[in-house]
Amino acid sequence: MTRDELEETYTKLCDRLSEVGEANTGIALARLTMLLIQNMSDANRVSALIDEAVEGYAGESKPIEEGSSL
Amino acid sequence: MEVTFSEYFPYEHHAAELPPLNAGKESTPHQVVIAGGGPTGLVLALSLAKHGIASVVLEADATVCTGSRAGAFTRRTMEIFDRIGVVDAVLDTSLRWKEGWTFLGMTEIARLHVPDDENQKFPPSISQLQNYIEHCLVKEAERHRDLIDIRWQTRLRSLTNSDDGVSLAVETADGDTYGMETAWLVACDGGQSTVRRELGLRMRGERHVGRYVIIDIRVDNENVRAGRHCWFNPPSLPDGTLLMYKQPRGMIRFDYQIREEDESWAAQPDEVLKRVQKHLDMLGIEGDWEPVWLSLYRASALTLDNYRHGRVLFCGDAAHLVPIFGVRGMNSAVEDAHNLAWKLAFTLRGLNDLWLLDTYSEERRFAALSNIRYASRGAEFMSPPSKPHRLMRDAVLSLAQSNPALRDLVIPRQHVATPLTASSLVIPDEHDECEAGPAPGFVLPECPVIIHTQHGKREGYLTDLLGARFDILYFSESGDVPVSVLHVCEVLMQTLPIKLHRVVRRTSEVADEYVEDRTGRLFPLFGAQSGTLYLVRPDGHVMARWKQADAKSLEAVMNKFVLSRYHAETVSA
Repeated sequence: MTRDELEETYTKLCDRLSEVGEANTGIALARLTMLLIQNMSDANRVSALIDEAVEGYAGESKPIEEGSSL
Repeated sequence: MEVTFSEYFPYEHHAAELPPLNAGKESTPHQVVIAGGGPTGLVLALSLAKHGIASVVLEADATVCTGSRAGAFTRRTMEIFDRIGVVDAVLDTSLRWKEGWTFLGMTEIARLHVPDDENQKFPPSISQLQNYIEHCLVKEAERHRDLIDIRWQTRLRSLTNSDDGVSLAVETADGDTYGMETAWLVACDGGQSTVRRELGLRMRGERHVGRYVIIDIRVDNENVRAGRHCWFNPPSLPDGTLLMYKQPRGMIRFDYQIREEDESWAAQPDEVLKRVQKHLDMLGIEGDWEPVWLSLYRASALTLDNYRHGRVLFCGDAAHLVPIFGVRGMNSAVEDAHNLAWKLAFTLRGLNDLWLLDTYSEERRFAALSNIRYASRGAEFMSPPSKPHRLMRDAVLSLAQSNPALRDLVIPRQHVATPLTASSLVIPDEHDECEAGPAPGFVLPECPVIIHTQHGKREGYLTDLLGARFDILYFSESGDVPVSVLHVCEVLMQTLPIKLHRVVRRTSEVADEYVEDRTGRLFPLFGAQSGTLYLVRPDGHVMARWKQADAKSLEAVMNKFVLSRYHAETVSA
């Protein structure tokens, strides 16, 4: 992808997400993510990208069940 | 919560009976007592009987279970039922299926195809009622009264586990109590196991991975296809998820996945019935119907850390619980019982340590963890445990129809016999072994063959050869087996139940007893050439194989894993 293409793609994503609205942005990004993932061939790379994407965003901690060591 | 509206079929009621007692105790100790006469306990008792081992089954109720519970069964379960003599009765009224349909709203988005091919003896999946299967198992057990003693309406009260056996206190429904002694106690007493509680043992894992309502109804099901029907967000249940199976005896089963906000209606039978009516209307199923059985339950994904505690063994739901997705509950319990039976029989017949029984725990705990992993994924997809889970799930559902690669996420992986590849009772291929065929740890694949005996020949299947013993398959062009291999087999046979089968590409001039590869598919299926040998365990799992058989290796394997552990006396059946 050239620099121009990257800029165009980025702008298109922002514009299309603005069209569908904030309420639908989550599902649209989720769909996009799954479409991108299904075209990847390296599961380790996807796994690393997922970690990178969420890094630094502390969320609501999920309660861990007693002895849930499986 | 559980409501029984009517019987699935007329159950036989059995009275409590007292054995001969001496001062409140049975005077003769037993070899095996099985706590629980459900499918796990009955399959174990029948499998032990195949090895000539007697057992006593303690069952608290007077009948088979009154709710249906498990409803779909795998080919592997059919194979095990074949080995214990109940498969014809079970298949007789069952519904065979190999497809599943998944809908988003009313649109089909993915289809499940359960693997099937022309080599198979049994259908890939069947729908049948658990309590009817229990009925078949009880009938078969009654044909083996010399080896299987079912004590109805008899409940285990307490137990004492010692180094050389277990002392039990039991109580009948009439209030009589007595003591029993047994070399081994096997807990097949389900998720609420008394044995587990008495020993103070706890299962670990995720206690609740979902809430479900199961309801069986009697209805005109003529136009419903047998198989797995799954709806996400159907018009009859907006934002909800449900499964539907056609069942034998004019019935349909519904399985609703319950979210927190659904709990108010799910706990009220009338409200559940209303939703069933809506769904029947949606499907255009008309006419009167009646509920038979309804249960609201929480699914857990739990297992004990070890399935052997002294002289007590755990089997089925008493050992582990899995969510229902992918038919892993009763099917895995049947595999547990089949795995345990031969190991217990061999141990009782003269093994001098408990290593073989510890491989039961190792192998079936490995299987339970694998089942829990797959089933939990299915459960999370069907009822997402968090909002982000639900967002991604909905994204996948909305894309599945147009993106075939994502459909695998929509269809839960169906249960297959867990390959025991990590087991210490399986000998991995060393080098240059067969390119095809079941690797050590896998279950023997099926194939039609012609079985030649001294009395003639008959069409059959490869699994027909298997018995309550080790089976050796020796592949050759002519039926010739090298003297060195024959010699090792003969030596082994003096101590162990073991049988050598000559597998021949065409008809044999040199042997009267052999197996003919009628279809020409058997050799390729096993990656076999002349000289290939497969060593098959009594439970049908491949233990070891050699592309070019080597008598010394066979002898070494059997010596190391079985023979060296025996007392001196002959134990051959």
